[in-house]
Amino acid sequence: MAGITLDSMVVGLGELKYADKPGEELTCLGLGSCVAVSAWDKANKQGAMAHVVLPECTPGRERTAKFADVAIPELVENLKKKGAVPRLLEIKLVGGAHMTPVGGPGMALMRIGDRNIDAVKAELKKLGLKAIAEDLGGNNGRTVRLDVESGRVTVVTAGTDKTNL
Amino acid sequence: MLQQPTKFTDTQLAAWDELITDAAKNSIRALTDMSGQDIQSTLVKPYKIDVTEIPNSLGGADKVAVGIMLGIEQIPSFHIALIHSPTTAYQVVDILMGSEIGTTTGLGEMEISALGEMGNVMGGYFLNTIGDKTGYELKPTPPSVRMDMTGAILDYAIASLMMETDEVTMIEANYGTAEAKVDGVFAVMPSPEIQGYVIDSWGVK
Repeated sequence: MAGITLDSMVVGLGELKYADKPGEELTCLGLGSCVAVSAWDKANKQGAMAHVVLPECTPGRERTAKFADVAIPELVENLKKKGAVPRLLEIKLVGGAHMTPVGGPGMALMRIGDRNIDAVKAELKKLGLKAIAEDLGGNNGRTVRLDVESGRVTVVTAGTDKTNL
Repeated sequence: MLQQPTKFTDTQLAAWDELITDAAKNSIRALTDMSGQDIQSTLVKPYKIDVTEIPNSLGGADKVAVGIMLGIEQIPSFHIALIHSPTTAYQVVDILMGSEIGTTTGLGEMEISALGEMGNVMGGYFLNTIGDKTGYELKPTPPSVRMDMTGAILDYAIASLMMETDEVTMIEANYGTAEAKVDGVFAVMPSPEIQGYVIDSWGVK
């Protein structure tokens, strides 16, 4: 909205953050193969965003929100504790680009963007949830923002104007 | 809390820092040979960093940049990145092609090829220095050149590193010419695994 500067909270790689105050926004900067999972609770005017880097936590690793199989249940559970009804959450997904592969054959096989998308959707499905909008795949970086007051999600691709999702 | 990478002795870590510092300086000297311009390193600094902080340390995740990325054939979690602002990247192309500064205003096939060759040369010299000193041969992959948000450029590198570790010893080298005021960052991000292989091969205790 013109004339209002939102208080932006950057959700870094592997982080999961919440916001519930008017004027606050959650943002993931420069997403490539990572997937930003944005969830908005219209009734309570609160939102959460996870910056998923990898599809699943492997044995021996600390279980953090950088993994889809940790981030999604934690995001939903914590919003639920704050009064949200999971099936009413407006969930939007952004990212999962197929960036130019770098590295040897192992890297080419990773297709980490696609794997992140699949993992995020699978985790949502386990919880009986589904995204209502998405801007996924392609091969360009994106920055995504969630205005927690209006629930509006905007996406910017390098060199382009922002678009509402 | 960070996952503890492979344990190294202080002697090994000091030797590693010296090794990659020399290798980075050699890479920048190679750029002088390639371009015929006097390109100097202005800073060569090895340091430990949380993998998630790498995009911020290289200018910011959403800052548009031109990145030249190389990997290593044998192991996916070793990355070399050359990051420039678009304006600087155009100046680098002018230097490499012997054009007057200001000639290049975008990235076409020829400009991308020139930057890719720069990545080949710098990456090759870096890895050759490691090979010559330690006996551990590392082969670079073909370079990937793209203009995008810095976070997106580095995404594959970060994801592959995060599969193994939360912290790496990165080397960052800045370089430029006084005349053209070129300023770029040469960053090397090896996983503790590859660091361990090289140190073992080298025989430093």
